[in-house]
Amino acid sequence: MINIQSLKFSYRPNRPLFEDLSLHLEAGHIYGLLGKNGAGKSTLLKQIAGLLFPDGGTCEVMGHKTAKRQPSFLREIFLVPEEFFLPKISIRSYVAANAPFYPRFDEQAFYSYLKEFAIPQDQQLTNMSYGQKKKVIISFALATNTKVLIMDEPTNGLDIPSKSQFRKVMAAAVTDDKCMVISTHQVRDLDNLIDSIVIIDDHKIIFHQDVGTVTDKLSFKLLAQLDDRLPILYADSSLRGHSVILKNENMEQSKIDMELLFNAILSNRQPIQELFN
Amino acid sequence: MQPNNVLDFRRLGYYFQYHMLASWKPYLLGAFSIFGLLMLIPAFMLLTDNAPRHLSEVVGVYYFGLFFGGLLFTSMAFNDLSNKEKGSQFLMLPASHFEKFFTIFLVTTVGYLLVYHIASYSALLLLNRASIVRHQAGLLMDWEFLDLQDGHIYIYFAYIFLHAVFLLGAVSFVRLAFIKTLVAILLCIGGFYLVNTLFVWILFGRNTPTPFQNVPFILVGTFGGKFKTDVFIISERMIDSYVFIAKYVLAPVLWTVAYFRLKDKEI
Repeated sequence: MINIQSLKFSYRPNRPLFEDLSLHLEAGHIYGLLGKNGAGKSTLLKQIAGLLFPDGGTCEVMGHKTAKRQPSFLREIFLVPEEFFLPKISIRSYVAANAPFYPRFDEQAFYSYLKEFAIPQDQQLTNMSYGQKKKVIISFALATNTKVLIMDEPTNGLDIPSKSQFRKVMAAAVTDDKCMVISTHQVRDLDNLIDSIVIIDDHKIIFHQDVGTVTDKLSFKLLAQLDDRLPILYADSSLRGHSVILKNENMEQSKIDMELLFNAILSNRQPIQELFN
Repeated sequence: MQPNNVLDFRRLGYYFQYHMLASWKPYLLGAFSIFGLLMLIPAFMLLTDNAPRHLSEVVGVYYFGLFFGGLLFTSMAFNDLSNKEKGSQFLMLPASHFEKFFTIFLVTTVGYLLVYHIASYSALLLLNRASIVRHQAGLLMDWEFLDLQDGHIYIYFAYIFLHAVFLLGAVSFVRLAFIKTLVAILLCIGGFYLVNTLFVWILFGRNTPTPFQNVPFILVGTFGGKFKTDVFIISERMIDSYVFIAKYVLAPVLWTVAYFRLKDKEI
């Protein structure tokens, strides 16, 4: 569905952001795009949305070259940016002006998402808080029923109950023909939501695995004491004890700790990558 | 069904509605400002002893408003692109670049000219009424300045050309498009003049009197000859070609370049 081949991109000459970056994303998944600040998560999403053009390589969504920004492509993709613009109009006027561009827009679903997020339907968009506006745009994005939905830091500005509501509506909205990509640096917000992890660092994709494969090969545990005999790949100590990632030699089932995995891959990449090769 | 990726009239209609819904307030405010400003100067003249007696005396205000207002409005046409959030929204909306460009083109040409002429005619009617009240005589309506003979039509050709230049400037410059376009125009004129001077030196040596005794690429006056000066002018056919290009080619070319610049926009 999203096919990026040997992507090269830089904002300034001789300072490449992406070098030979390749990525293939399929329908039916919610991908979590993770990376450090400045790794290029937002830039990659902009490439997918056609807001930036590759310096080399190709970026295609459903066979469309994204840089062309053709209506047949744009009506199948919706981007929820981190910072967004909403005009000084009511929610109903916003829907009336924007919905006709999306052939599968579901107005009933839109208002049900708003209800889920507890957003009053008769309010002017400009009279809303940042978090409320974000919920409106997320609701609109989901109601468009586009095949590709990309979200840049969608949980920024959402309060704690809203983050859980966000996970709920997202999980309900994913279908076999949709591909959702969520970029964030708040990895805990995506717990139990994403089913595939993509980590971007050092100008390229350094990790791309589905959650099932990760939990098959790695085991996440909280230990009271570290034991040298255990196949520990990464450990992070806190007051609660030692959060560790181990080789899953006994095929135990454990709950993935996204933050721990992210830190482990960035600091101890090679042994973990070898496990997946 | 695969949609038309260049022009779909239904989608164009949706985009026009979308554009007007987002912009009607500033447009209405702009229309009132035009009307107010058009009233202001003649009204001031009316309150003093310099009251205009003829329509042709206030026509300068009309032309100033037409050019300054129209070109300022045109240079703000793609202001959304200077803002990351608005720019993303603009580029991501599922309408073609052509539909977006054409909507803005229509608003800045037909839309502006319509609103401007309604505003200026309303201002004129009010001014005429005020003149009757104060001086017991209305303005003498000498409409000759609109006569298409006598070369007045070239003012409108100039407006169309400048509209194309400022529309290109609006797409090309991220901020302060109006000022940057003005500077770019001055630089182009300077460059044009330098190239012409170079050609004149190559062809005529340094026998040309002053820089202002030639019309670039059309006419050159030199020292020497029987009457101390000679004037060289290009053939009438070439002048006709220049006029044709200026009237019918330049503006469409610049509009086309502006359209492709929009297609190439990144955020």
